[in-house]
Amino acid sequence: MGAITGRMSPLGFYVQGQVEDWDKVLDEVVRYRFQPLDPETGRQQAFGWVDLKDPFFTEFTRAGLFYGDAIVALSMRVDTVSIPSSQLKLHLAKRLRDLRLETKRESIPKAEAAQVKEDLQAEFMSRVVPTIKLYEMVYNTETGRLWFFGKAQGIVQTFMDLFHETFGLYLAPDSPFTVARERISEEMADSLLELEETRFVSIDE
Amino acid sequence: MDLSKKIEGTRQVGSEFLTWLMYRSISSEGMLQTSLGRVELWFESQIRLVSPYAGTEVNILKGEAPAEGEETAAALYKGKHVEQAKMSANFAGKHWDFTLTGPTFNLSSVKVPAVLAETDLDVVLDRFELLRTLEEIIGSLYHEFLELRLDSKKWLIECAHFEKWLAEQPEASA
Repeated sequence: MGAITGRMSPLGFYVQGQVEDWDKVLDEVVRYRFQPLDPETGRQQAFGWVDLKDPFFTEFTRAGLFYGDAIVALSMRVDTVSIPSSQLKLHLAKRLRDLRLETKRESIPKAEAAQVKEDLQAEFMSRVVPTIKLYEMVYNTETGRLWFFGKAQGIVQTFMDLFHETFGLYLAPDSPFTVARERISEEMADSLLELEETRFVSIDE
Repeated sequence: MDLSKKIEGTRQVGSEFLTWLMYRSISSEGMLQTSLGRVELWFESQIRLVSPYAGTEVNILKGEAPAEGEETAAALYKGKHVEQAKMSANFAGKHWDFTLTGPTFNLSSVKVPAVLAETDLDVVLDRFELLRTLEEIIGSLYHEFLELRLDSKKWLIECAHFEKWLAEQPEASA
């Protein structure tokens, strides 16, 4: 939990543009709030917004999004159910064997076997408690600065997509180029592309 | 050119910045001028140096102030740049510990000064204000670096100063 306690390891972003309509954003936060995995769907991962401090709270209000006048803080909750494929394979083989015996058939057609597998997966998923992971986001709406507390590439991409869908704005990640663009100008930052690598110490041939 | 290509095409500038910052910090005994005022900035217990020409040549140096050690000087002589460093900053009576990675410009393991606020709201506001202060310190120093780096004459002079400083380091050219 880097945002509230302990050492902070944020990924910094510059938000491109500003929110024009916060009521619309609130509607989108509600739309993309976290919703628990439904075993019937067969999906093994679900993600969405939750309260910064309470991963089970999704009753958002405009006032609830803001910390002070300018800071918007939320967590992205990601629930994952994983079923070890080796275990699934063993149980599937048994279930298909039982089905063959029960229906006195030599083999089970592919489509029917796929359905059995899907049913078995759903059955297992309903028994497994999802792993919950939380990634905090803090967005200073005055400065356009945003910090996200997740590092894995897949999670960062999921977050950037979710942010764009919710806030209607793109994010530019920190890098020598983007920080230079903010500190000086786009034109000057572009000229960094033309530079040759510095050799701080000359080479005596 | 799209943004992702510009980001990838300028990663090395971050390592040059960290290398320059290490030189500036050591040669000015940690005292640096920033947009916020004078800041004390030190390279601490770990630095990672990488050859920009052969990325597999990496030195990870640990210990007490490795930036001021012979191994660092020797690596710089071989043309290596500082890619990542543990650092600390003192400003306005407050102290930050952090790691800065040049090619991504990411701060990590940031220990901000203790926040004494009582409510969650104030804790969040205070911690992120302190993070913002640290970013401004780093950003301001990066700005100074960019002004030198983008002026070929000034950069040549700066590199000459760097080389002179390095030659004065213990056993650097050995």
